[in-house]
Amino acid sequence: MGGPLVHLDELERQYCKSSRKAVLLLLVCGALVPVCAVAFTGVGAADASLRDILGALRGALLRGGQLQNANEKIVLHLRLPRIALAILCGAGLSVSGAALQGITRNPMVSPFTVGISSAAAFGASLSIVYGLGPFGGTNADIVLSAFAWALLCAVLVYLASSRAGMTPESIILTGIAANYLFSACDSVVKFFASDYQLAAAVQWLFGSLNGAAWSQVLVVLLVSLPCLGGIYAFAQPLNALSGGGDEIAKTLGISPGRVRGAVGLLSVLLTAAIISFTGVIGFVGLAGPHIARLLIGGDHRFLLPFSAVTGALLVLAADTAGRAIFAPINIPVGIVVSLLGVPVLVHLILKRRGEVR
Amino acid sequence: MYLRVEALSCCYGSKGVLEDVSFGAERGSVVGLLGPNGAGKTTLLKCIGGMLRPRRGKVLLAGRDLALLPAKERAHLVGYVPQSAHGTMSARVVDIVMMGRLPHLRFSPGSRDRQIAFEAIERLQLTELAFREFDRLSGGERQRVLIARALAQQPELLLLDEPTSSLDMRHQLEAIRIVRGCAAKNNVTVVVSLHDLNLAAMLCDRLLLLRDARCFALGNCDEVLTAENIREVYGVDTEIRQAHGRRHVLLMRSDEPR
Repeated sequence: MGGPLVHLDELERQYCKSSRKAVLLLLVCGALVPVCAVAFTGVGAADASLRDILGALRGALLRGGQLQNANEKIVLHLRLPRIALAILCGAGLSVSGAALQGITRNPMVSPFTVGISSAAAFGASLSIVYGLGPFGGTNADIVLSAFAWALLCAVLVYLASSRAGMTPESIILTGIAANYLFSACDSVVKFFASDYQLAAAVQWLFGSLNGAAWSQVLVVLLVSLPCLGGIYAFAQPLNALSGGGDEIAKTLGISPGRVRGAVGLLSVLLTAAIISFTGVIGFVGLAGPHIARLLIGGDHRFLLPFSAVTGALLVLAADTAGRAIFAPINIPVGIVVSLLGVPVLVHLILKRRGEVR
Repeated sequence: MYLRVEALSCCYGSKGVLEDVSFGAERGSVVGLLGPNGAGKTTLLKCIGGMLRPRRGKVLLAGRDLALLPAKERAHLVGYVPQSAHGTMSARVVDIVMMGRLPHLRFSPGSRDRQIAFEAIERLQLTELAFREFDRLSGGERQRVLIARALAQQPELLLLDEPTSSLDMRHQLEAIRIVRGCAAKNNVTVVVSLHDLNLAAMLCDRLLLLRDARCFALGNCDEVLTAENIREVYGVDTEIRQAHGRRHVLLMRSDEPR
């Protein structure tokens, strides 16, 4: 008696409730990012108080860069750019991972599956060992060289996989091939490097936020924002591709090949811009989206921004832990992020398995 | 004719998988595609739906060439239910069905989109499963979700690829009732591939029997479902009975006397 109507209302109520829950989770965790940012700014070799942090911000924004003491200078010129880069780096790599997992329909994919980390490492090694570049072998050359080779790799993978039909398999396989190719090239360069150069190249591979400066933050920000916006505009096509498959996407008026090409290139550009500055910070591109997916579900309208949040928190926490535990020695964030992220990820996977049974 | 398929041919590489197939369908009628494995049923459906590009021939819907329509516009007209969906990543049943509304919305589903999707869920009796993960459902449940998704799209031409293959008998009948309802009430034209000849006789107005990528027989159920046709195409012996106003195909064992 009147059953269907009651059911329809119930469905509507539950659906809206689950959407509200997702938005709430997103907002709460999103608010954690600035809170952690401020809290973690105080941690390090020199302890900065909340007053120093606020003073540095006030000095930079209101007093035209006039700072009152050394602590404020440390905060403004060393800590804050590092925190900002950590947030951008975590958010960018994690969103890039979520997008690439979406277009390949494969939860084991990360930005580095498609070979860009090896290519960037090769570019960095080239510059470190041979000092090539328009800036005479300085840090800017390393960044530029890493970025250029990462993009070249992306174009190679794009061309090869689009010839093979732009399927998930073709992207992953050509990506893995590119990975091996550039690893080999990188090894050749390192083989002929001196001990000192080799140490610098290996150091680059660790992935670190040491020496983060506002200029770097600005460049990464300028590349990231359009990429992030562009990827988010594809949220619904990503839903269709990852949840429905190619055939269903096609009948919805979506071209799978075109979506894969566009989202893939945006993700790779995003990743390349970040890792050229930071080196290889790998695990966050896999763990960030996974943690987000386990907590908020597979709808890319929520998954993409939530991946940004989980990635940012992960890198922030890892970098801070790396600075604090053996202070004054900084352990590179690329190492800590795996040490920190693996237990979180495994815990969530096991917990979810338990719930399903 | 509302749907006209004209001399459609399709190849994978050099192998022809569909050769010179033509048929038509009145608006609101159900056409069944029959034939053994590999005869070209799925290829024909995909060519009609624009998922495969035919080598020759065209598909006209209400006089308009579907291949010339923009993809988004075609998505308003043609819905497709694949045999199965594979490799999906964590998506709930409700999300999959809501996907059917994608051609009609900009970014987020509005209240009308939600209502249409929920009605489709209700119609396929999926209410209890609505918030379960799609990839944890049984094959039959998934098939019903895929049908609900296509209904939520509100197409004028509905293509179904063996929609009953994983369903139990009750849900087979239910699916047939729903598809017939779409055709009769909402004036949706349906092309459906089927293996079960008895279900085909129950569901379809006209049948197209394919053999080796070509049209072997085309007509109403009485014309197509004959023991000779079935022996010729499927290579099995059957006995045809008439009851309840439709044909019934009884399968014979090869050693049974006829």
